[in-house]
Amino acid sequence: MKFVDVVKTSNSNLRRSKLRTFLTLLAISIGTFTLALSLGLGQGLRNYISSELGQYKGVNLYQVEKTTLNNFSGLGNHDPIVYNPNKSPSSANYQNNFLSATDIDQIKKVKGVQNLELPYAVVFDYATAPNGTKYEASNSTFLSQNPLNLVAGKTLSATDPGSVLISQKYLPLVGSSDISSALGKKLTLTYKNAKGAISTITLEVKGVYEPSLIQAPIFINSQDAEKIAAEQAPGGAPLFNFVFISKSSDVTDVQIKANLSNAKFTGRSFADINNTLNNIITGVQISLAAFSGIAILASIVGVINTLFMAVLERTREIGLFRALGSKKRTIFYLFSVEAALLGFWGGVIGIFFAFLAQIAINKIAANTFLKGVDGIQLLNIRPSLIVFIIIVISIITWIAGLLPAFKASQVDPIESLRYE
Amino acid sequence: MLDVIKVNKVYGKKDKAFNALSDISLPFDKGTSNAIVGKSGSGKSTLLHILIGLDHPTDGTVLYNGKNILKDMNTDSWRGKNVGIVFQQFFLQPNDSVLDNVGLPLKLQGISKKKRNIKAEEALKKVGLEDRMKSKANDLSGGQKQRVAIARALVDNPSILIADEPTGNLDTENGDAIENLLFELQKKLGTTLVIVTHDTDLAKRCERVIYLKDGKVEKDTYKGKK
Repeated sequence: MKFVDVVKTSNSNLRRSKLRTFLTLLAISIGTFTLALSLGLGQGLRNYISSELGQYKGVNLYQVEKTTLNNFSGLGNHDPIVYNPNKSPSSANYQNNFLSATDIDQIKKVKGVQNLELPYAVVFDYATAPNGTKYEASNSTFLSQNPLNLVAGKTLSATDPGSVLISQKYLPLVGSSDISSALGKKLTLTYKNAKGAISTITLEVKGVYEPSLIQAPIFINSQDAEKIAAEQAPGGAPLFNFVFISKSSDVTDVQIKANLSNAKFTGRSFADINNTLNNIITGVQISLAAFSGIAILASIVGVINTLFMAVLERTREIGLFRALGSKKRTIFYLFSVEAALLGFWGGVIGIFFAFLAQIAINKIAANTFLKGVDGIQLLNIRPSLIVFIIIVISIITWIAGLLPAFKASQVDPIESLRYE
Repeated sequence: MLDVIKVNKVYGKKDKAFNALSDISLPFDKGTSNAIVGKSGSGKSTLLHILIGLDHPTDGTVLYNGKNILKDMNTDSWRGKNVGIVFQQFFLQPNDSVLDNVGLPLKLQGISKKKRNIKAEEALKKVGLEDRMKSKANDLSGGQKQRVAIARALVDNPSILIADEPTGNLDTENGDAIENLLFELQKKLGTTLVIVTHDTDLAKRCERVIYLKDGKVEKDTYKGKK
């Protein structure tokens, strides 16, 4: 029998017991639906992270922190711990993780460290727009290697006092409606010092950049950031959990990390952070896919049951086919292909509904919890993923159908022709 | 053309052994009509199944043109190409068209739809059902169904036509019509016809009648090769 006839015959056999086929397909499609959504979610998040961190690709910037972080064992609900002089002392509030001035000097001296920048954490109470409206003013200190997609103006230099960069979405804070007119405008920021006294600083807009999820909407120059951070620090000296460094060209990525490690510091590039995030997403994806796997496993039992029923129902037909010259393997193909087709159609139905769900969920997400976050598609079921899922499901159900198909091929034609 | 040589068929073992066929030797000559007659349990069906290679004899051989059908050739392929079978219960695919039912043996042989439709149409013309080609098998009367079954058996011009109680499920009028059709086509096509029946009137229309009793040939009217 030609393969195309095997497929056509198996496909038309699916229509014989419509309700049973429908229920089996329903079970498979539910499994496929959840699998497609979980993989689509992971892909969506991965794409977004790659697009966001993509601008950091090749950037010579490392986040450096102490390696001697203690393992978290709960704040207090544990037995007394015997003092170990080789271990960094622990503290309930983890203050020991801050880098001291000595630590920072030590980092500067690590071989291959070219430049060290301090990420001053400045808290502004609000920004006042020219029309008097007050806005929140979340910000970061600009680092010389910080990659921004500028749409107007210039980036900041290492210090550049009195200047600021703002995101395209923050134009109302300087009373502008278009990008070019924002350049040179003043941004007025209000903050409290350590004693609670209110101060104001006015900075000039030097550049406007494309907003992104991981970049702050305001970047202030490091010189002013240092001054305000000192005012806001209770002891007059800002504290840092980590600093940023750039490496010199004579050391490799591996070497700088090894040098930092030898000095008991951990250096991570943005590629490392990207990998870490991707690993987390992969873990979540695998967990979700495992749940889908359980649903698919349950549907496989349905496939096996459906095919065993079909073998019983079509016993006489098998006998007829054998009497008319059909080989055992043709009978085997007919039933195993029928099993694969159950997976194929179940997969197609599941993917179809997952696709509809993707459109709806992405739309709802964009209008609710992801409102204002451009460029993110929560679910991303790619064509290659669709093909992959359908092929995998078809193979799984084909394997599930091997036993019933084998049983069908072994049916005694003489007995089956007598079968009522 | 088809020779049964010293065939024995034993079911069960030792003290439960039952001889369904004992030392059967029968030649079936090309283009002849043969009837195998016997009561229920006489071994007719067992002999039929062994003749077409669906069952294996305990001893003995079946030769087709001098070749052992079980050892010297692919039995399934041989049966598909050389043997046409008509069953008492018709065994049609109820929801398939008449044309598809008739073309089924060709489909199992891997012949293209276009070619099998041409051959199936020719076979249906032979049985006078060319106007019902597109009807569903389920929509036909009993006599028409058996005509379709005959067309299916003859679709690939087999050299052997086996009919197992071909009129058993039909009324007298339809039964007579099917008998006439079988003999007419057998003569016209030169096919070797083997009818298994307990109907002695039908058997007597054949050139040769083999009477089976308790798994043995009780009487054979074979008169040698023509």
